[in-house]
Amino acid sequence: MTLLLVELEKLRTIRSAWLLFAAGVLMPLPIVIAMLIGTSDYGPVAQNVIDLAVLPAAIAGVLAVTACAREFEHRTITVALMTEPRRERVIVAKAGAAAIVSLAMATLFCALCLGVAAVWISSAGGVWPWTGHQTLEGAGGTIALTALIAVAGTGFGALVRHVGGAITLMAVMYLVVEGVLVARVPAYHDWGLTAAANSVIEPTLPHTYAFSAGMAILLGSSLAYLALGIAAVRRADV
Amino acid sequence: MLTVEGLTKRYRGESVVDGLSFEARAGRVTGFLGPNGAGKTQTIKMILGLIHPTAGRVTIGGSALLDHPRPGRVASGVLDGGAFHPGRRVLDELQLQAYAAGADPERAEELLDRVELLPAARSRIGTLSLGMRQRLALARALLADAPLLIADEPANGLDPAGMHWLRALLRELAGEGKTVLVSSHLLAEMERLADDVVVIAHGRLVASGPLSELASVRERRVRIRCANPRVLGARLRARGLTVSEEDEELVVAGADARAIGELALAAQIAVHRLVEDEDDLEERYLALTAGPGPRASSARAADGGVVPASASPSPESAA
Repeated sequence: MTLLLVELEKLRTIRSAWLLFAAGVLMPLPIVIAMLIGTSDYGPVAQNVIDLAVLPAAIAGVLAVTACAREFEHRTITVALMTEPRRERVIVAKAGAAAIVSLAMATLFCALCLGVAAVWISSAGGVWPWTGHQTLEGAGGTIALTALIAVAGTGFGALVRHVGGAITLMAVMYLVVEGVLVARVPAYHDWGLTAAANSVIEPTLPHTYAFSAGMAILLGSSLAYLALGIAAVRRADV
Repeated sequence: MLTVEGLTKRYRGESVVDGLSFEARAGRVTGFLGPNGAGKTQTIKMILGLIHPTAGRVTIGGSALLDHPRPGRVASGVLDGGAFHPGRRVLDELQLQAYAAGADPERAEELLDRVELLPAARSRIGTLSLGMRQRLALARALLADAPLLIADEPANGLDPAGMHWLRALLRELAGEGKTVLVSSHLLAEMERLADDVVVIAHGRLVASGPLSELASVRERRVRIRCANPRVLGARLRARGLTVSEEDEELVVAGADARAIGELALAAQIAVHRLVEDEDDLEERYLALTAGPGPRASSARAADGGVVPASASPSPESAA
């Protein structure tokens, strides 16, 4: 618990973490407003807003990678590992702190963007297209997905221990490799990570996975990346 | 007390630290000396658990670091010229490290005062000079109040006043009963600071023990200017002495002036100048670290005194 609070305090006391946090919350807002201005069909608005979660999720990944890998670049990791030589604890604490910050970021993103959209639709005399349960499921899935991306980001940061390299590897894995697999392997298209992610952020559409199964797949994937990172750090000389 | 036994680190079969053994005692400042690239930083990082040794073990107070319930309160270190996030404020850095170390966060301000950085408490670390960062790194290392403090080249970046301050601080910490291990490649600095020294070269121990004893093994030499250096030199060599020539003088190692003067008289050679001198500690240090030494375990004499590499056979050679 102490380690987790120390990692949160580390994030609180640097500006870049705050800038990324603010970007994750606010960047989608102009897009939401542009989207609302440009349409009178409010049916797909809720899903379109949730789909913008890709922005805070990507920023959560960058924040987590930066929080972990920059410690190795600045060599401040030596201080953390002198205080707690059991390295897996330090990396898990980093993942926990990044996940908590990302949870907060995604929660604010959902509250702000869904709130603005709801007020806009209401003021235009429209009806919110989702039921309360669907809205909660979509928002909850978005928030959880963002936190899990942060956990994976910590794993990438620990694995590569270089901010640029780790972000590149993460982008390659989630965009290039995932994209190729989805496009070329029909079974992966139905049962892969993208399918799992869709099942948690698209509450009104039919999916191969149930919400909880999709969440379990995403959790397993993020923990696998984190475990790889921990293994690399445990073996490394710092 | 810190005990290092047979510590070895190899990268791709090449040893950077090779069978290093030594002790650093509580209440004393131990200077860890060696030229650049001798393996000091690698050794320190192995002691602190940051680098995995290929062989050997390190105990602090009789137990391995990881066997202590709170390892961070057993040993602390100043490494990498004071590694910090440049965007964090000085006081924030110390307060979060105080929390990590389980220390009272109020101790952060107390330590900032002790390292004379209180006026910079709200500054971002990136704006500090190298010397100020070294002071901050020391303050951070002192937060846990660990009985073992290891500092890797802490004098880097300090001005003369800062070095004076550093010496006083480290002596004070040793006076409080802490074990203080300080690495440096500057012998002059260690002469003013250390009680004991551990000298390594090429990853191997070449001497260890009290600094005063390292000084006592300085080699005596006699310089002689005479009418017939060729003949006198031959006679000295015939007696098994080592003779070299410098600036038209014979330099004789391992004998005193009286014996050489009597030998010259017996040979009927007029002596114009006869001076007995000792190499200074710097020369001794350079001589010790110039070539690869024997395995570490050989270098400490049975009585705990300083034994230079050449004076003591290695276990392998003894066998």
